[in-house]
Amino acid sequence: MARSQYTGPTEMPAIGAVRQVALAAGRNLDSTLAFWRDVLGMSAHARYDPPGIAFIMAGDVRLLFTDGVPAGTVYLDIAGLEAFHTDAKASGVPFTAPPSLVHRDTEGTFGPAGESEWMAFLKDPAGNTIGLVERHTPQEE
Amino acid sequence: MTPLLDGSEDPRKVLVAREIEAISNADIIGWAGLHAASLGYADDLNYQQLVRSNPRNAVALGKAHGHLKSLIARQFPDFNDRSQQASEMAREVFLRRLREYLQDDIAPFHVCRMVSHIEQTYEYPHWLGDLYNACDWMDERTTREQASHLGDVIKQVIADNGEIPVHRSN
Repeated sequence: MARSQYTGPTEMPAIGAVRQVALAAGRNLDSTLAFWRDVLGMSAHARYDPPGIAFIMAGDVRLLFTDGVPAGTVYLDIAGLEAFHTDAKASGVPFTAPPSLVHRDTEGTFGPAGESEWMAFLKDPAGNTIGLVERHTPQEE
Repeated sequence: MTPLLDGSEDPRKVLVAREIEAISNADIIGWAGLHAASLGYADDLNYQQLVRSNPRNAVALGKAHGHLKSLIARQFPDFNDRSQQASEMAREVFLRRLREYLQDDIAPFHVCRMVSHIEQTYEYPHWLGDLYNACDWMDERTTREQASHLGDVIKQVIADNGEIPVHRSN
């Protein structure tokens, strides 16, 4: 007898926005959180010891720092990317990539048409890659 | 990644290479350690600072670009890093990096981040070929496998610039 195939729910679930993203805590959660606080200005919203996890809020999205997940990549909006890069670099923050043009949104797929997306990258002590993203108008390029 | 500079380069070319993100501050210090300075600037304060810099010292690394700019401003006051002369230097450095890409030495983003700097500094020079389009959505996480089209575009750019792609023999 043929096994019946799962065809999915009769109504699609109402899945909404991203609530939480898991990133690696690294060997020393204190160091990782200190980096996010001191370099990015994002302090821990909550911390639970045990089990040794912490949350940082990025807008409405919770960034969960925990053991047991590989280092991840998260892209964060920033205003004033170039100035931030200049200041942070002068303070000794190592960037893996300076602000660079990654995409021209000529058709307005992700925002106003004609804007471009610039990104810079750095890594936290846990090895997570942080992409800092800013959209520029054509006049700002 | 193989160092792009071998020490024989004119300091102006090193500055251009840094401005288009072809090299890092550590590369500037590495260059200074290899470079045989002409008498004109061998005793320049900023050049000496570069020669004495430790590339593993974050503070020294942070200052390297500034030292180089000061050296150029003092010793080559007529040099304009957006001039046609600078554009030609940028082209030479860029093609060197493109050849390295074909030798599997650098990542797609390393090529593409240079493209945006070159476009802006030298007003979309023709020698960039179709890299403007080929670099769309290339970021630091983009792998060479994901960017399989990039190699073909790079080969075309090298050919259009009268360069023969060099492939690693070993």
